[in-house]
Amino acid sequence: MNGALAADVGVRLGSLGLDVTVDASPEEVVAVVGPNGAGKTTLLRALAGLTRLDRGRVTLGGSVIDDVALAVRVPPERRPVAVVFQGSVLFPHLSALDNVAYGMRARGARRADARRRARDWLERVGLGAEHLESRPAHLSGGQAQRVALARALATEPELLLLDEPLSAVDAGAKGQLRRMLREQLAGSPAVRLIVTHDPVDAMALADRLVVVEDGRVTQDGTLVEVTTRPRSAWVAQLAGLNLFRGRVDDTNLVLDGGAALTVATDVRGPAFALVHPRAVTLHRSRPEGSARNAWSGEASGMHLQGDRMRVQVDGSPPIVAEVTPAGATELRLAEGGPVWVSVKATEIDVYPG
Amino acid sequence: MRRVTVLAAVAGAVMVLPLLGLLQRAPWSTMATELTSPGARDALRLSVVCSLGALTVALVFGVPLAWILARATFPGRSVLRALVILPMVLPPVVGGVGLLSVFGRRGLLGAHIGSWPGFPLPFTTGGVILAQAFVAMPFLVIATEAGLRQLDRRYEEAAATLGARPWHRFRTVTLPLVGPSLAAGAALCWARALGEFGATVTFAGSLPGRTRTLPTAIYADLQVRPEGAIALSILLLAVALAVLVALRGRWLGVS
Repeated sequence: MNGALAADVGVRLGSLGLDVTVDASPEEVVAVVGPNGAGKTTLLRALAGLTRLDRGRVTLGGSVIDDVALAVRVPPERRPVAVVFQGSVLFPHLSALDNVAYGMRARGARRADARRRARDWLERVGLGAEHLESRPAHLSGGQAQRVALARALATEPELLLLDEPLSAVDAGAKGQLRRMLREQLAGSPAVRLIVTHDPVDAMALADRLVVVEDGRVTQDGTLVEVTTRPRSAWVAQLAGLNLFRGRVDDTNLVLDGGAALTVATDVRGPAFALVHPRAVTLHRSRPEGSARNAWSGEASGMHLQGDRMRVQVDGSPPIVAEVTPAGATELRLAEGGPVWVSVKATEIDVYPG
Repeated sequence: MRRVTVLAAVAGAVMVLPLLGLLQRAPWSTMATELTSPGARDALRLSVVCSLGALTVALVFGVPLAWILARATFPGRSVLRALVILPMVLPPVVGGVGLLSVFGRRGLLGAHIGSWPGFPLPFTTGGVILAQAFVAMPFLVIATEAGLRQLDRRYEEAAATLGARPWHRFRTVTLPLVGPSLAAGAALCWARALGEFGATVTFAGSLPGRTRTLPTAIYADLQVRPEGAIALSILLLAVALAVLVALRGRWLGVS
């Protein structure tokens, strides 16, 4: 029976300081998401024992594998941790089969035995039998990732780490590979942690998201929690939502940038305000009527998404609106042209910051 | 432009003419007898034994040195690298004198370990191997270090996460992946050891059957039996060409 991961990781790396706490149990798949350069890969390397901690403690299933204060540091080869590296990192001089057998051989399994079990693993991840003896150079990105996954799973780890497992795969093969990955992850008894900057992958594969930005955890929760109550601009943007941060006093939300929005809420003090782009109305001139929030700006970017047109309006505050293409034509919207924005107070979702 | 061509032609001639001269004066009809004469056979045997011995010494000690230079960070690493390259530019005879002053009868170490088995080294076959290793080892170290530096460290990291201990990682991942660099370094090292003259003759002399390798035999023969010297020279030229052909992809820019 595998146990949970409890990691408190502090690493100084040039300008980046990583300082995060991540807990994960074998019952869930956790995705560590965040923009590039946020420290996600560093976290993964620290958990695998490849990057030395400057501060912190990591336990897996109750046993300490890293503890700076106690001067404990289990080397990578003695950790029950396996890694699917970004870009596969298959051994170029070994066949697919021998790549998968490598971990078992390193742990003392006999060659024939290791190769037989490797064949089973490669079958499970769906690598065609004709590729068993192929060198990595002759495999496609998707095939290489299958081999890399089989190689990691074959060591029967207690903690399985995957770094951008779908990034080196072309769009056509991605869906199929994602399904395979999902099945294999579901079938693995390990604590499973995926690092990705792709929200689609995170949402398809994980039960819980840990958002890391600038070396800090900015949010930790289920998919629904994170996407309906984003706590950072990055998360809001990937969910396609407008997020504002400020302080509520009475019925005004005074934004960090200086502008103010009229809101209808009981929340007081520091708060987030979430506005769906569909709730943002655009006008050619100053709107009249019930909308309490109206301001002018410049339509700085427009692009079609499905059957909706997303319009970025640079004003105070900047906001994204969604209109129908017909509506955009009617408004005679042009990039760089002036436009008025209005949002009803009741359409602004306010929650404590 | 024409002037450049002329100067280049002179340079080419300086390098190629001696080889042509050698081929022109070669005793082709008696070549087989020359190369199988007792003196030539002794020199050939000694050269093979000593150059392979020097290569072994270089592999056993030079690969760890290359590893340290490529992977460890410590103060004075660039100084150490410069010292390792030094024998490549140092006149070999100076190397020989240096070896004598360390391992000679009254040398730094020689005075103390001269009575140990296998010692003293000067004027012995072991001394030839040491002299050749001194001159030839840098070729192996530099090539191997470059190979290690170019190696993507993530392969070794992947091996570590798969449970491979350091020695197993080195044997199953590092070594195969730096193999081409190591082989090129070994070939150059061996060729350099085979041709070693200055340090060998200074440190080990030219005793037939004990320290007279092919280059020293050529030098000794030249005054008395020039056709024998030329035959042995042709042999060494052929070996050098063979090494060059084997390395052509790496060193001649041909793929």
